[in-house]
Amino acid sequence: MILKCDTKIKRLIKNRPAFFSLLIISILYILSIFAPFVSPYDFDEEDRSLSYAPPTKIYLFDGFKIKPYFYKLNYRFDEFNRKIYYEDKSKKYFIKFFKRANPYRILFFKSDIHLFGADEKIYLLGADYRGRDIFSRIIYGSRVSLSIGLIGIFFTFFIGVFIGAISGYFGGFLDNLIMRLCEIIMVIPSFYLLLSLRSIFSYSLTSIQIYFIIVIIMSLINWAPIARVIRGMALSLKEKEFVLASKALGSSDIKIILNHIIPHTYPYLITSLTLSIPSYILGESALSMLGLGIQEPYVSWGNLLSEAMSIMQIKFHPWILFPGFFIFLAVFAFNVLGQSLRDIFDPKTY
Amino acid sequence: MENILEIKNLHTYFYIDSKIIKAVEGLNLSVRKDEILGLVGESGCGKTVSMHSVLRLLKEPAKIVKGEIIFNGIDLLKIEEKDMQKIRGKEISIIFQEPASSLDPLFTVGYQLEEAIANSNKIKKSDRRKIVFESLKKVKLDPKLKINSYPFRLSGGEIQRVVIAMALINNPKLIIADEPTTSLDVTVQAQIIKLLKGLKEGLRFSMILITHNLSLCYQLVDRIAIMYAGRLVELASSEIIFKEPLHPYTKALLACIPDLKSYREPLYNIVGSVPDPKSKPSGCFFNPRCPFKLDICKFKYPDFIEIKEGHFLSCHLYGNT
Repeated sequence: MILKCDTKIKRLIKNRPAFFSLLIISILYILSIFAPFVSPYDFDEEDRSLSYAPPTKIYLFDGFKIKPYFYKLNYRFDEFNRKIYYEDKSKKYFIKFFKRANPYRILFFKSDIHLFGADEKIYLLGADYRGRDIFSRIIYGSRVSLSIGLIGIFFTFFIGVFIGAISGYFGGFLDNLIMRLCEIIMVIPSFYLLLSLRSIFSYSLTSIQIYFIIVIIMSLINWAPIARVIRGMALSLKEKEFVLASKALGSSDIKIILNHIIPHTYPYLITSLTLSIPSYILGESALSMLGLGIQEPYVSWGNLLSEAMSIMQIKFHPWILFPGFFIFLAVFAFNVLGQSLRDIFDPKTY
Repeated sequence: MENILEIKNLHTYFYIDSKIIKAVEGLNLSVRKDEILGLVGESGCGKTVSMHSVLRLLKEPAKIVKGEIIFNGIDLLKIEEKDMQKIRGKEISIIFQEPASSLDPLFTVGYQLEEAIANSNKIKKSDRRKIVFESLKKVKLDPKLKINSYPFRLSGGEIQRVVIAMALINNPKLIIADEPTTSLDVTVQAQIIKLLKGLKEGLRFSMILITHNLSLCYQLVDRIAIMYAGRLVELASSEIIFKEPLHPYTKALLACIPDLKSYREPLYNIVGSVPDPKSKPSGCFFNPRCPFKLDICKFKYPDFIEIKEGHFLSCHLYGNT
């Protein structure tokens, strides 16, 4: 497997769906890492006078030059006292790239240059009820939503792989005990378990604490199916001659598990890892949408969607559904990538 | 001469579905220092099981029921698993039947050889590399070419050399070679035998060569132990075994070696097959297949006694009672 890495990467690039999904995923992650730079505003910068402002209409051409501009939004009230926005065409506001605005910090780099901005408020994907830029909030929210998948699977697989390998390798009573435990966990509907585990922890926590609690809860739920598969693999691998040979050379059981059992599960793990990231993104979204996850003013895709829970809001301000589109995009891309990886690592496709 | 390994009255049974399969039943064997002992017998007569018992490599449902395995004055069956790990690879090492499957396909040859060193010694990584280099040279492989290759890139003979290098890398005192040449063709077999012979002269170690190929023993082995259905039937120097074998089974085995002069004549074969270990015959285990059997053979298993100096035998034909 290690040897054939280059050919695998070549196959990955040649596989169109895999390549494009990998591209989408990379773009999403780059956007989330450089969130303060990409987004024109802070995630909590609000302008109540512009609540539920629609996405700004951008004009690409000024005369014959490509010079994007937009008009400032003004509003009046209609007979139902709703805000009706219209463009104030008296003055063009040009979009400025690499504009200096709010200072921010990405890791150790301090800067105040943003990818784009303007002298007036620009809402690429509209604004929410407090006049916050949904585009900026989605970009900031991706930091939680996308990283929870990675950190979550790291813990889950760490637990699942070790418990599964130990269970399969040693067998006997221990194996029986662990497998029954797995079955008990798998029998309970996972969302129900998610909610009940969440209720154990205090309701008033900081967002960072909640973030880690979500990760821990998701790992506690999801390790079981992985442990079962890894246990099955360990069960067949431990009968292999090279395991016996390693033992005959004086390796301890732990060394055999680490050096000769777990590496053989990597092809399965890579596929399965990719395919299980979406469940973390969706799980976090579901919790946050129900108000049990990340709390205001911090953002995640799920808690952004919680605003879209009323049909009326969706009817009048459909742009508040945009976070859902990003959830869809990420989940879809991870699923496609996972499926393609499965094809690539499947020995039958050689 | 001093014995490095003494197996006394070893019984290894398999417990399958409440049935007891007696794979090894009262094996007595000793290996002298710096000798090569050939352990010969048909398939299924317990050669491999008894040698795995020595290293305690047996897994469920096999179990060593009784006996002693004394290596350098220590009973291997009585020490802790942790101490056993220190003996495996460093004091006693084993070359497995199928060399190709005894290497992990995921890792390079060099990596696996290094792992074998690291198991028993704490040596710096750069020094380990040097030792691996030397050991590959010893088995006549080009270290520069082979150290970073994966097992599936090597030919059968090359893999066998790597496995031999692996067994020798910690300078063990005893090497158990479990049919090291069965999966190789005749020319490569000859090379491997030559290699083992050369290594034996350079390094001082004892070796147990498990084989069902008597002609292999002819070239390599000091003493030959003939095993049948879990017990030894004859043990003598290879000269005696080839020149004046006594036990009917040994004679039959020797007759089985094909002779180029007897062109297109039917090959000799021993009638019948090794008894099913679940239901061994009463008396001497060989009696249903023995052409010279006496009445007593059906009732009593002959004792294993020394009839001449250094020649042990268990057969009623020669006065064993």
